Amino acid sequence: MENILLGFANAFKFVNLVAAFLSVAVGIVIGSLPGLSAAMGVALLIPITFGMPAETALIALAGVYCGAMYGGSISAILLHTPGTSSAAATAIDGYQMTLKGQAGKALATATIASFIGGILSSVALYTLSPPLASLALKFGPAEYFWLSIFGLTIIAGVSAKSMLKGLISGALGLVLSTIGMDPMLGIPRFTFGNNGLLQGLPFTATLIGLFSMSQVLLLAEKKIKDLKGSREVKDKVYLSKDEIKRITPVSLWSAIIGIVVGILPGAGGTIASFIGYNEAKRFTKDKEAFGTGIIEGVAGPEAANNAVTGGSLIPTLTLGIPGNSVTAILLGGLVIQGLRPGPDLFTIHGKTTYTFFAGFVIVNILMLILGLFAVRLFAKVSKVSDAVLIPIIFALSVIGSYAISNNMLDVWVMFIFGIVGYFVKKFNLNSAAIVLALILGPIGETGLRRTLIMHKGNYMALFGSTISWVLIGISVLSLMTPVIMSIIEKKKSKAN
Amino acid sequence: MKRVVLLLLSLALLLSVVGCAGDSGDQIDTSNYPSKPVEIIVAYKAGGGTDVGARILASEAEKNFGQPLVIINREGSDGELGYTELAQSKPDGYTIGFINLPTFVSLTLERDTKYAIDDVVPILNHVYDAGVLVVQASSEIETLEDFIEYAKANPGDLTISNNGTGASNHIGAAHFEYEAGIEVTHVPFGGSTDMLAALRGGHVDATVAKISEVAALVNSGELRILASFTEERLENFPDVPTMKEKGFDILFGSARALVAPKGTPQEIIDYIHDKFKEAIDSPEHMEKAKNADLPIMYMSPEELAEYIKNEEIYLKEISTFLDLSN
Repeated sequence: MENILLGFANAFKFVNLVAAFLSVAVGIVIGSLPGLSAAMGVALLIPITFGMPAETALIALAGVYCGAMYGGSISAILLHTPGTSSAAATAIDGYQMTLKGQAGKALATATIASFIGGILSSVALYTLSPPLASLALKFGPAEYFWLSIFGLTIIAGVSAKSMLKGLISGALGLVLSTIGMDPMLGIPRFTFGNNGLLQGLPFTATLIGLFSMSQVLLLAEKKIKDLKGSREVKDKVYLSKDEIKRITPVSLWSAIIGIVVGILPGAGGTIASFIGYNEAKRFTKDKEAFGTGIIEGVAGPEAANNAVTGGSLIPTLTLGIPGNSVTAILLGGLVIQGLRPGPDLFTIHGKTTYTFFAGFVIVNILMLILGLFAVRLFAKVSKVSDAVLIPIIFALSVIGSYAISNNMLDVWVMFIFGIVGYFVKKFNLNSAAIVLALILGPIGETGLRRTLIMHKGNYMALFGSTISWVLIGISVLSLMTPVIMSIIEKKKSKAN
Repeated sequence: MKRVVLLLLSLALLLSVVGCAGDSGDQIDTSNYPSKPVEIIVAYKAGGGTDVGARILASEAEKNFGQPLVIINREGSDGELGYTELAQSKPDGYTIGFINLPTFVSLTLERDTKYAIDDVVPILNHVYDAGVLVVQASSEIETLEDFIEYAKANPGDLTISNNGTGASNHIGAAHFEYEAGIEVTHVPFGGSTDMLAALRGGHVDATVAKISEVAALVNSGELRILASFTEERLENFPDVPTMKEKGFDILFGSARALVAPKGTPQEIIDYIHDKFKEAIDSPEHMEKAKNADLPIMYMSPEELAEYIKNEEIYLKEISTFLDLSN
C-alpha cells in the first residue's frame, strides 16, 4: 500500500505529468491518423525515451499506447475510417451517429467508455500483477521453454485469417532470432563477421523498420489523397446524466472482457472491440437500433479496446511474455531501462513499477480530459495529408534508430526491415507474428538447452513440473482456438 | 491545423536530436583542460551494475571537475563494442571509460577482438567485487565441506549457474571445481539477474556470484555464502570462510577501473586521476557506494597496470587446464 501511494506521489512530479500529457496527445494524434498504429507510435517513441528516467520513459510509452488506442475512434466516428484496426467496430455505429449530426455525442461516448475501460484495466494491473510476478521465480528453464512454446502457438491466433501465412511469419521471426551469439556457448551465428550483430538484431531498429518505415513505403506508393468525406463536429461533445447511465453497464462489462482478452496473449484490441460490440448488443434491449447509430454501439467496443491496454501489460511485466506487438515493443523499452520482468519489479524496482502504474492511471484521466475538451482539435488532425506525414515519419524513423546507440548499423538494419516489412504487408504476412517469434525464439532455445544441460540430456525433465503441464495444456488449447472459433461462427451464421 | 501535428511531431524530433548531440575534438591541448564536457564510455546497459557504479562516481567527481561528465552507454557483445570504441577514441582526454576485469582481458583471449589490452592506459580502480559461492539458505548443503562431499559422492549432479559461458563467474566456478577435484554441471544464463533467479527459484543448486549481487539476499536470509574467493575474510561477512583457508588457493572477483585511450597526455591522466581519487575518498561517495552495495577498492595507475597484467597471466594459465567449452 505504501508503495502504491509513493508511486502516485512520484507520478505527480512535474516532469512525469508533462510526459503523460504530451504522450497521450501524441498517442491520440497517431491513433486518429488512419494508417498509423499504436505499435508504430511506441516503436518511434522508444529512442526518445532512452535518455529519460525509467519511470518517465514508461509513463510516456503507456501514454502513447492508451492514447493511440482511443484516438483510433476519432477517425472511425468522423471518417468511417478506423485510425487503428481496433476501432473498426466503433465505426459501425459511430459513423451513423455522425451522419445524424451527433458526432459530438459519439465522440463523448467513445471518450468516456475508453476511460472506463482504461481505469478498470489499471485496477487489474494493480491487483493481478504482483501475485503473477511472485510466481515467476517458479519458472525454471523447462517452464520458460513451454512458455515460449505457448507464446508461439499464439501466432496461430494472431493470424486467424491465414494460419499458413502466420506460421511462415513466425518461422521467419524464429530464423531471425538465431542471429547473434549462441546464448549457451558464445559462438557467433549468422553475424557475417560483424561484431555489431553479436548481440542479435538490434531490436528497436528492427521494429521501427517493420512497423514505421514499411508504412512510409506503403503510403508513398499510393496516390496522395485528401480525405474529403470528413464531417464537422456540429453538436456539443457532451453526454447527459441519463446517457452516461445508459452506457455505464455496457462499458463495465466490455471492459472486463477487454482485460481478459488483453491478458490472453495474441488476442489484441481488434478482437476485444468486436466482442465488446457484440456484448453491448446482447446487453441492450433495443437490438434493432444497433447499426443505426446509438451510443451503446460506440461504448461497447471502445471500453473493450482500451481495457486491453492494462490487461496486456500484465503478462509482459510479470513473465516477460508480451501478448501483442505494442507490448512486445514496450518490453524492449522496459529492458533498455534496466528493468527485468519478474518478481524484482515489485521489490527492488518497486518504486519505478508503482510509479509507472500510477502514471498509467493518470494517463487515462488525461485521456478523458483531452478527449472531452480538445477532441475538435484532434478531429482536424485526422485529416492531415499523407504528403506531410510521410517525410515526418521517415525522418523520425532514421533519427530514432540512430539515436538508440548512435550507431549507423542500426539505421541500415531499420532500412532493411522497412523493406522486409513492406513485402510482409504486400504478401499479407504478419509483422506481429515475426516480432513475437523474434522475442520468444531465444527464450525457448535457452530454456530447452538449459534444461538438457541440467539434467544430463534427459528430455523427461521438460515434463517435470505442474507449471510445465499447465503451459502444455494451454498451448494445445491456444492451437485449437482458431478451429473452435470458426466452428462457433459457422453455427452462429447458420442460426441466423 | 496541420500546424498542430507538425508542432507535436517536430517536438518529438527535437527531443530525439537533443539526445544524440555529440561533439568532435580539436587539437590536443593540455593547457586549458578540461574546456568542454568529458564523455565516459560505459560498455554495459544503463541501470546495470557497471553503469550504476560509474554514475555514482561520475556524479561525485563532476562537482570539482570543472566540466560536465557525460556517461555514454555503449553496450553490446559482452562489452566489446564499448571497449573498442573507447580504445579507438581520440586520446585527448575528452573520452575516457570504464572497463570490467577480467572481462576486458578475457575477451581478447577468447575471440578476435578489435581492441588490444594495451590500447588503453590505466587511470585508477574504483570497485572490487569479490566472488562468492552461494546456495539457498534452505539448502541441505551447510558448508563448503558438505558441498565437496556431495559432489564427490554424486559426480555431475550439483548444478552451478553462471552469467554466461566463459564469463567471470564461470571461470571462478570451473577453477574451484578443478582445485577441489570434483565434477559439477555448469549452467550458463544470460546475465547475473537470470543466474540468481535460477538459484532463488531452486532450479540450480548453487551459484558463483559477486558479493554485491547477493549481499542483500544473504542478509534477508534467502541465500547462504559457503566461501569467498578472497585473500582475507569479507568485512561484512566475517563468519564466511575463504577458499584459501579451506585449502584452495583461488582468488577471483571483478574489478571496475577507469582508463583512457593510449596516447592521452600524462598531464591529463594525472588531472583526471586526482579529481576522481578525491571523489572516491569523499564521504558522500562512500555513503552512496555503501547503499548500492559497491565494494570500493582504490588502486593507483601503477597498481592497476600490475593487476591487469596479472589477470592476463592468470587467465592464460588457467585456460591451459580448464575446459570452459562447458
